[in-house]
Amino acid sequence: MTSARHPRRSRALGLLAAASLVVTACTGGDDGPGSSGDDATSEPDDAPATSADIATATTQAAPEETGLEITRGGEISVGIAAESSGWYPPSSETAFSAGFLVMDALYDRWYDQTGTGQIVPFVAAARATPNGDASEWTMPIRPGIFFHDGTEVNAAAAVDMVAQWHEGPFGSNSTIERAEAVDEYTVRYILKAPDPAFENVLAGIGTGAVFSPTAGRAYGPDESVDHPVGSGPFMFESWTRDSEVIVVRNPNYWRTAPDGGPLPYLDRVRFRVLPDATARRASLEAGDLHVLTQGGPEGGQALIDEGFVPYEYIGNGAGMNIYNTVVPPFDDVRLRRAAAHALDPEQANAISPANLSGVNVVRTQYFNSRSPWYDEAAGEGYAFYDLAEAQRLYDEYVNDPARSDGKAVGEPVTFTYDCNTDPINLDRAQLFQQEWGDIGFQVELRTTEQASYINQVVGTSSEPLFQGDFQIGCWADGNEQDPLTLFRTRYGAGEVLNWTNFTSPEIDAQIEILRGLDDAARKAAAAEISRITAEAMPLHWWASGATLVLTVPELRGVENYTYPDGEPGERRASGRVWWHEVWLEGAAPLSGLPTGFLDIPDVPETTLPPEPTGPAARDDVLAAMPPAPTGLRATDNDPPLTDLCPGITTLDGIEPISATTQNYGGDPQLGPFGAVTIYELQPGDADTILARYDQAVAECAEFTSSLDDGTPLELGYVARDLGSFGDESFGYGVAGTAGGFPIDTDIVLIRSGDHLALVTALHILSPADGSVLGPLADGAVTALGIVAG
Amino acid sequence: MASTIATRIVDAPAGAANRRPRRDRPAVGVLFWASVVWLGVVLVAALFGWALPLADPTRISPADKYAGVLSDGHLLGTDQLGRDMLARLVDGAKISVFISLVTVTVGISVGAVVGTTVGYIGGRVETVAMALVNIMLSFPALVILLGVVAMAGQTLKVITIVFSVLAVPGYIRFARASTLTLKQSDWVLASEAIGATRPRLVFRVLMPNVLITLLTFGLLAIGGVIVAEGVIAFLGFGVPPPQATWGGMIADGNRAFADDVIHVALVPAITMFLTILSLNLVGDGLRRRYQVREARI
Repeated sequence: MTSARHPRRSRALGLLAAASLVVTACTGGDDGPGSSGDDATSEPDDAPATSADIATATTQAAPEETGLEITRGGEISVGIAAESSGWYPPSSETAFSAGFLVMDALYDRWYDQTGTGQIVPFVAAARATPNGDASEWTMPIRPGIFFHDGTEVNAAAAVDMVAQWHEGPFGSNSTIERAEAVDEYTVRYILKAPDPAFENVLAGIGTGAVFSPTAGRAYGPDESVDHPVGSGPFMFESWTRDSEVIVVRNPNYWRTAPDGGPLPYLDRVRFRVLPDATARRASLEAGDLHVLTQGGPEGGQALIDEGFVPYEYIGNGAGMNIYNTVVPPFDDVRLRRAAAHALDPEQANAISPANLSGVNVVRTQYFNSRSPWYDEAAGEGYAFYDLAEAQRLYDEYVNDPARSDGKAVGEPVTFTYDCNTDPINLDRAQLFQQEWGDIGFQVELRTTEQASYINQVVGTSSEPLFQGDFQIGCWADGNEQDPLTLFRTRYGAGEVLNWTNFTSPEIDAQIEILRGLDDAARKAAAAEISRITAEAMPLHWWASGATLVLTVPELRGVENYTYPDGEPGERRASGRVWWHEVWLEGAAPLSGLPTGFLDIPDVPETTLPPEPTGPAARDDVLAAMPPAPTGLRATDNDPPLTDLCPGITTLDGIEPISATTQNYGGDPQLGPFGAVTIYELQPGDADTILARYDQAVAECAEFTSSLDDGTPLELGYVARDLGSFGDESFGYGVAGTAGGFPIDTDIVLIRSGDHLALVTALHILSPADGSVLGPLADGAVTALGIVAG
Repeated sequence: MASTIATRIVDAPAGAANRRPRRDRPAVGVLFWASVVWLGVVLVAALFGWALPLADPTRISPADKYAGVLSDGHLLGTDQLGRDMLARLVDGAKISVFISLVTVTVGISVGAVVGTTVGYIGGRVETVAMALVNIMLSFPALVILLGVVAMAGQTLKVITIVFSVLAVPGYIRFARASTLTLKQSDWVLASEAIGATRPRLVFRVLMPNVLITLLTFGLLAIGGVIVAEGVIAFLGFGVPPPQATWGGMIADGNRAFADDVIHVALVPAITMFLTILSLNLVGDGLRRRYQVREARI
């Protein structure tokens, strides 16, 4: 459902979560922001006490790792709860959290986020640095890391990864405007809007996954989903949909084990899709699985008693009741609070314990007590269990002549409680029904299959926007996202993920503060939003649950999270496992494993999408521009710049052996129109062309002219540092103003032997902030991979 | 004279033609009577369960979760929500008995009228009618059921109607098959010979005999309906909670296995098993007793 993550209760919810994830994943790329949760995710979290107890319990149960010698090799089977639509980040919907387990084997991420939300560099060499308003982030990349296809992870790859994201189905949701290479191992992300927590995006499974753009181009968006190529500890071997994904050891993995030997330890991992929890349990008991994921406290103890080893994870996810705050009767805060006051969390916990320890801590906000964003005082106004208060508020509403449901004074309040078909949720729903009934509510239960239920709650993009069709529903949510991303989507008007439809000007004001870079102010703003929502009660948290991973006792290292700098990490939410640090006692090396890189097809030139057509698209761009000098527009199709400085006539007299022009639509750096021309030149001609540009820079550093209508042009040639594109690359530009209106061109030459790729583009810049509004002429740019060959 | 004989036969008590002299009837045993008693218990529970001094079958009490069989105050233990299993069994019997009786009654009524009529008339009417019946039978019943329930809502009314509609084609085939056999009988020919009208032949001559067959079939079919209700309840599409149903109770019990608690599933499963077994034993006993032929169904 949603997003949430809660414990098992949520198997069903899990699904929900999965769905949500999907939503999320696309949105940001991150791991899901949204959340979801499923069982897997869910974990309880909340309470400190809980956490401590769990930690204790788990530690006692965990195998004593010291003194054992690590064995390398072997194959394990991992039971996961759901299938994903593919494994290529830009176009796959990855099931939460089942698919994330697979993704973590195939892909590294730029950054990792610890259980308490801290950012740790992974493939990135260090923390990214923002500019003044956090709208641009510069990230250094660790050199010497290679994708499974043998290409290197560098700035050019990072730039093309962003381009492929933008070409994918979730591209329009990207928060990244474009990326540019600063040097070979430094990339700069230019965002659509300032985001002080942008590193979280680079730590998510979506935009954070480091995938090979070369393989992405080679296979294309459709085939890439079952040809994933990352830089992670395991390489893709095969995928049988709805059955299993097999990954094998990456012999070139860049990380080394603490003993100095290679990682990963295991030779092969099979991820078997077993949606039914009972089947997963049975497979574990029968010895068909080494690892069961997305288990829950229910039945967990029985497996532990049989000798299986539990690893319980705690995160921000939890189940909850969500109120539709724009639909009677729960548009009235009195009833929202009455319904919450009426539910005894201990009763629900007795039916289905939140975690192995059985300790239930009431949760009041989106963050658990271990989260840096948690604020205990903010939860003081929460509607805790209090029958007398519930009755008082209920009676007050029922006897209010202006009651929002339009019934006569004294008539009982009736509503429908919606949930998915998960039996554990249904148990809980029946308890709620009884508890609400005891104070006078008349409650009907309605269950809907998961996918339909999510649609029902989310609503549609027609009016009323994403209102959904429910009064109270079960849900799951919570994650380690930054509060800006979280609250903006959960309490923003018209947001898909604002399931409760709750908005308030006070929250909007705090969200603005969250956009800033002042840590103390952001912390206070997050706490204030938690305080507001604790009083308004748009949602009522259940006990948090736990995500349980159970393994055979021979499996070791499940809790190991060593960061690249050697620092031990901590267990994290979502039941993630770092497969490269897992090993199997008594395992023997397998034979016949790959020893080199994966072969991928040549990049076909046709993978570039066609230009999105001219006139219509062009009109869109022009329409979006601010008022510009008329002359500049008039020259749209006839750029006069070539006449302004002789140096620019760089191709005069050059007879290429061949010239191929490809149109490329949708490059985020140069706008919707781009083309790259690749010239195959006579020996020496490439040098001639480059020399002419150099000459232009030297001679035409400043020049003036005017357009046809007399608009004055003040321009200059400059050489630009491009970092590293292809074998050799050279950047030039013409920049200046046209009648006071900033314009900019990019001229990029990429040389590979006697091939030269020439890319030009002209932009109109926003007078306000210098950002690119749109190209004026057919420019170009693209994938450098094309030239490199 | 001939007409007198014919009339007597025709108007004889139903089943006369198939009935053997009393001394030839197979004896029924202890099992038969034990089954009858069990079915009586279920029926009484269904009809008068409300009057029994039992706990509220829907009252949730988490503190009493998973009380064992024979525990204090809970003869058959409690389920995962601490609800009394005996009270829920009795309450669930109401649903099982209601759905199965309505379904079988509708099936027999409609099946007898339509099946006997088209079987006797024959010709194009029969061809068309049986084609429709075969089409209905060729749809996967469970899929239709889940589809309709999902669209029309999970209520006792909807479920009962869908069950009844789905049951009818089987009874029609059964009734027609019996009719085809019976209409070759001399006494039917005799009735025709003396000029009995079609309605009289269908409703007075043939139907009483067809009904005997349908009733024994229906007795067995009750078991099938109870199981079917259990299946959809197990899948979560049955009568919605908190109403207890046997299938829903077994589904609850299935989850309790994960916690190594078996009585939650065993109690309703054994109850359902005994009921189905009893229905089969009683049905078999009656069939042997009345020598209903199963051929040509």
